[in-house]
Amino acid sequence: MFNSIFRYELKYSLRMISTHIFFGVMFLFAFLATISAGGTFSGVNVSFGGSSSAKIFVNSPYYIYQMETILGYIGIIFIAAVAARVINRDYEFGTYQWFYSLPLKKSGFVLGRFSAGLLVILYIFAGVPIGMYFGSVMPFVNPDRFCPNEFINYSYPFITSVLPFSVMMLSFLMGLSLYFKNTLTLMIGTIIMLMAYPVLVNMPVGLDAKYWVALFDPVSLFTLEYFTQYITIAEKNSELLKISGVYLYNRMFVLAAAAALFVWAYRKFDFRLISNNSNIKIEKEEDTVKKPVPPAPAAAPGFIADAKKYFSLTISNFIYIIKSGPFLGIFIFWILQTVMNSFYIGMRYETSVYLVTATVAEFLYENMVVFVIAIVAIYSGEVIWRERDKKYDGIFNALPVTTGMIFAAKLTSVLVLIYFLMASNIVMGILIQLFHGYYEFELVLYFKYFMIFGSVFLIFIALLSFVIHIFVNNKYLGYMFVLIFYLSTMFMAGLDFNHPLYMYGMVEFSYSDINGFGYTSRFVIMSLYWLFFISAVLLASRYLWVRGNETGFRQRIAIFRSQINKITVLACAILGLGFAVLGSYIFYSENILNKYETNADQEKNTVQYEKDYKRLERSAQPRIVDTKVTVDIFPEDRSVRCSGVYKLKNMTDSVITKIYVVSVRTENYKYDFSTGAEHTDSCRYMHFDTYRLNSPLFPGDSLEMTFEADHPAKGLTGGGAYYNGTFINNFEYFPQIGYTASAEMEDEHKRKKYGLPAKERMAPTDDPFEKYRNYVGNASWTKFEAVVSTSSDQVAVAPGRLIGEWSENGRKYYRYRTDSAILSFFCVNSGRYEIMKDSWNGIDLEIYYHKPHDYNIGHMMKMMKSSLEVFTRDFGPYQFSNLRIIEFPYGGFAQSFATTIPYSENLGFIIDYNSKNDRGVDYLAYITAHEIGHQWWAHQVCSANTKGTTLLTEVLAQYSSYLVLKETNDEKEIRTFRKYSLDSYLKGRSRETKKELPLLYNENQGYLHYDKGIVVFAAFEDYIGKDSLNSALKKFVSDWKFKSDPYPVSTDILPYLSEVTPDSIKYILDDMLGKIVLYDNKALSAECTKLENGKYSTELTVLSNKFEADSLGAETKVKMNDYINIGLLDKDDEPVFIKKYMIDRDTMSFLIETDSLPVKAGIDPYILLIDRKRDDNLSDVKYK
Amino acid sequence: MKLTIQNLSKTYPNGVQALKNVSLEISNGMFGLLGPNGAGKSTLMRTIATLQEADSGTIMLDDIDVLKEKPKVREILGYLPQEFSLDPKVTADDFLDHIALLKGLTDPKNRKETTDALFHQTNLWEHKKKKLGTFSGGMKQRFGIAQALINSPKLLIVDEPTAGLDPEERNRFHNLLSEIGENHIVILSTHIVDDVSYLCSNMAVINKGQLLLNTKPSEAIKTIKNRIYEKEIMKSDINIYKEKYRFLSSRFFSGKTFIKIYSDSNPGDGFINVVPDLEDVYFHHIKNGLTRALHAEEVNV
Repeated sequence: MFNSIFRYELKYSLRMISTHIFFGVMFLFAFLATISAGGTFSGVNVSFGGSSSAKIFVNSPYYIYQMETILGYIGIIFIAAVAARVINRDYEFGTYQWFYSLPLKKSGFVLGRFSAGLLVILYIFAGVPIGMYFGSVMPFVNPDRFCPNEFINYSYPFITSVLPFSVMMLSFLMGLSLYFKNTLTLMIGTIIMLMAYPVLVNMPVGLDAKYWVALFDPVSLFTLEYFTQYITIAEKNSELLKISGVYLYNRMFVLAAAAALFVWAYRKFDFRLISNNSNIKIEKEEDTVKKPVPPAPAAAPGFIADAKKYFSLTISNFIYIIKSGPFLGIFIFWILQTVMNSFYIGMRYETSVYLVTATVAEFLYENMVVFVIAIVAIYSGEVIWRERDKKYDGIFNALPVTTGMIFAAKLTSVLVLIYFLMASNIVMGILIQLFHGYYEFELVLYFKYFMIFGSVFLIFIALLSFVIHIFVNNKYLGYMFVLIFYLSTMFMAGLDFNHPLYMYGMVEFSYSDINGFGYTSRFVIMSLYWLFFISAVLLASRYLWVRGNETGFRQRIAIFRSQINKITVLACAILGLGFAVLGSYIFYSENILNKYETNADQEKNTVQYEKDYKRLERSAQPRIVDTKVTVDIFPEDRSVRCSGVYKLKNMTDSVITKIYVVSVRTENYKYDFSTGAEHTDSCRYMHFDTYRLNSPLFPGDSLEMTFEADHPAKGLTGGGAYYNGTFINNFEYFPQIGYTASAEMEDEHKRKKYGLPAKERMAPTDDPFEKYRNYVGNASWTKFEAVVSTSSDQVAVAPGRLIGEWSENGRKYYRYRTDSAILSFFCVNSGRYEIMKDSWNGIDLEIYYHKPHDYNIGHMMKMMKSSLEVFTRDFGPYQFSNLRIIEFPYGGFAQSFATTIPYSENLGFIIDYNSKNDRGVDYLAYITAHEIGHQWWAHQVCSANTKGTTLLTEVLAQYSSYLVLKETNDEKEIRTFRKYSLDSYLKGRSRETKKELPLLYNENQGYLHYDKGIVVFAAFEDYIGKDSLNSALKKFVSDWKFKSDPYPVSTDILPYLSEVTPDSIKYILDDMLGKIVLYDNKALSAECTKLENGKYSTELTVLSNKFEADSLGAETKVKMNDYINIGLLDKDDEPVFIKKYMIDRDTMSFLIETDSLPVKAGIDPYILLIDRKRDDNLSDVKYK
Repeated sequence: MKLTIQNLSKTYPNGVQALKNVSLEISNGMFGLLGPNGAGKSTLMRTIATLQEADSGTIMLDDIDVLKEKPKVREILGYLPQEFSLDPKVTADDFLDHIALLKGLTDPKNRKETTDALFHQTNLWEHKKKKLGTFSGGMKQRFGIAQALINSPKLLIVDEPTAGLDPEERNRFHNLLSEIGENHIVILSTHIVDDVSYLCSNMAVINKGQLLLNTKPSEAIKTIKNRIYEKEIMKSDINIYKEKYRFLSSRFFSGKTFIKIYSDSNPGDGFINVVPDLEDVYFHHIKNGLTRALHAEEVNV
């Protein structure tokens, strides 16, 4: 019985061509992903999940595991197809009455079909490992990206990930099939699940809550990511995934769910015939009184009648949409999802922000995209197929309603739907704000955001969907084409197709409270361009609309020919003309006024630049020692004009005859040299120009270079100025001297492909050339003076003190000069700002802020003062007489220039302290203090351009902010801060693309200098002691500030640290700065007894291992002789007892007497040391 | 009002010739279109109902060119397709109201009166608040006719309306149609001969796209008077008779097999002359038409 059903089913499935197509799709997906990750196509960037590190082999155990899991998830759609076939076939072919009336046993029937279905699914999914394998052995892939193939690497994830997932999903989808008994509904449901899943698992919950998301993730993709987040690259490349911890629990959850779902589906399944007629009632006796039909009124002709018909049709279509099950499903799901996520809006370090309308609107917009696209794409098809689906098209099409009106009403109903969805956003936004006690609703902003800007791309999706459905005139094919379009827009950019001329419906906008919607003309022109296009097509397609039974292609063409009229042709022509005109303008703007380059073009330019000019990198060049600039900002024109004079000094021992100048951003530049110079070479694509000086520049001599660099707006592309809140820096807008290596290609596989030699990211610390160059650029400490001008309603700012201010020609001018020399690194800002002024010990303090963003400026000012106080005390005097923060639009960073700190509007100005729980981090204080720290660590001590350079800048700026946080915040927040930093460091190293280096030699790697930096220096502070450590740093500053001959390198700080570190713990300097050291600390047991004297005695056993890791994370256990905290904590995690002990054995026990009862006990309780498993350091104390 | 069809031909993309040079004249009253499944009845009806194109030929409704001036036809048309469903979630009342509006009854009061009257007329008054999903086959069919009758169409086309109705419902339906047929052109297609004989003043038989007969039912019967013979036979002998005579039909009654044949004179052999009915006309023309067609092809060769 089971056998015959099973065999019949299997045979049937294998005879279906679709089964093999599914297999082929899986194969192709895996194959293409493998060869493109293997570096086959230039300019193409395909990567999956977190495995994009170039150091992870494409056929490594980890990569294959991840790939099989991801493609398993995408393959849900195929599982659904198989499930539908297994179940619904009987209903759809009407054979259920035969089958179900046969003398079959339920168990055999269900199990037979289920097993056959499962086998078919596994066959389909087998396409993944097979495709990956074939991809990996292709001759054209880069062999460096692959390791030797092992069968187990392919089969292991198939059994541990794909198999349980398939069992679960098949059970679930079989159950759903039985429920819906309709393939389309099942498919739509499945697609929605597919789309909703990433949104759900990426809920921005706190670090600890992610554990639970991982545990209950049915697809296990997030579980995999979470479980492997700290796994090193070496482990990813060589080890099969160890199924343990949360991943094991998740496997158990999945299997349990599979069993439960199977039972559910099994129960659901019965051989009862479906009957929709159960609710039919027996008709009562007919009423015999027949009223005559009233005489037919002449149908009211004319416009009013037509309007009424149109209105009624539109409403009826709209109601049809919003009453349908899938719509309600998606809609409710979307609302719930939004409500859930709204609790995490803008949350960083467990601290929220004020729910200003801009933030809420942006949240809603990002949150809605998947759902509303799904709704619009589905229902613009459903509404077209409405009459045919419900099978009353015969009646409907014979009604006296013009085809144009039917068409228009359907279109309008979808537009109504779109605006209904947008209005739902606004309502949700206001409710979210109300709920969180924020009452300053900006209704106009909401309206513009959703009703105007946010709705346009949806309208384009709807219109295109209409066109596709009408042209194709087959519902399933229509949906398939819409889906293909949607997928292609996602992949095109990755495949290096980016030109706006063919990116249909790509109309983007961004909003900033400061700059509003900015330059909206681009949005308008792109919208009109596509509107013209799609309207013309749509207008023409109206005549391809099938009204009646003529579905043949030729007949439709014939009808099209006979019906299309001159007015339509004319309208299409006009729209086409508009499309062509705007298209030409867009082309003119993108390709003629500006330079359009594909990624592949850019790569080639970079390569050529390096090949042609790399040899000049170390040629002697003069350094900027004096900078006088004029910057004119024209906010309304979006343009910037720069000019100025550099004083260039030959600080080398050689005679300089040639000067190389780079203009990063513009080709409208002009340079003049006081010695006179001949322009001898020009690199077209990089604006790299060579000048031969008429008289050579001898060592110690100087010359003046006068320059102009114009940044006009060109067509649709702006010149750098915003309407409000311009922020430019000198690297992009001003000429730079000498070859810059920063433009070179970094990716080592690509370098190899283009025939470039392997490249180190940075030079060694003893490099004789780089020691004399700081990491900011080819300039020395320079005097700085700037005249900046802007429109009369704005204020313009540059580093330094304001020493002059005047008006001229209706514009405002400001002159700034710095008190002392600065790095050649400056910014210019302009905007309509409110200014808060204050001072601290004679230093003028200012905050330039956008008026409505005044929530925290008082706190910010306080933090400026605290920072100055802590840093002048601990590191030495501040070198300037003023310090300012300027809020700028967009972005998510702050940057420290001399005296002046541009600070993103998204980063703390709207932080809501009332929302902060006792563990949340005051990141406004953190960022402010970090940037002010840079006034010492970069703007006083600037390191050479060698490995480890950021140890003296970013790491110490991090430590500076840590000092401020410790003085202004409580210990719990500090712990949260350290926890997040450790988490980021461990994640960062598992995604390293080249190699992890010790902090002392790091190559400007963010996860090292920010995250490991704070972890290490927090440990130093604890081990060495704050005062000793700071005294060393103070001495270091006073010895090295403003040095350039040479600049300090990272190792220069070691003697200072060593001097203040007791011999017994000197090893920490080498461990934490010079090596990559990790610990595995664990509390094994803790038992407590009450003593007769009323004290408590706790016996604690701990395990500790220490490892040294190489650059890819391969670990070697090393001998321990380390001091580590042993601690007993109370219920609030405050220490009852804490003390460092020498740990020299793996397992050690301690007997500790305390006055009060400890709740937890363990080793390194507050995670000062780097530990991949931070959850097991403490154990609950058993009280006897 | 007069509907004139001239030389109408239609071939489907798959090569099936659904209409071959059909010419017909139809005036007020009930007109029955008879033919077996696949004869081309529905194609003809749909073409008149503006839902299908013809390859050649014309259809004129008085001075309206039906094939070209579709919107004008739709203004005076009532159409009940052979197969249709109704949105199960909508109530009968709402849906009929919606259609009435689309048919041009834009005045709400007037519309209400009309739909109410139609609900009474089609015996659906009791059910008008129900969702269409709960309707039985007969109710659905009556609802279909109700919507077709909105705005008193001058041309009413009903395609196999009684298929699937029980005898009582069929009766009710016939009464309804015959009332309407007095002042309008009503075209009724069916493969049930009785429908036509009860209801229609005029009729046509088509098969394989060809018009075989266009006459009044009573006159049609007259043409075969005294030419229909019946005999009880052994079931196994049926093929012998089929070869030997112009076989029309067979029926089984109380375990016996009766056959009818067409013969210009008494064939003897135990056949008894019987009073012909419309069904005999129908079979006579269907079978006859077929042989004629075959014959024509032979000539062409």
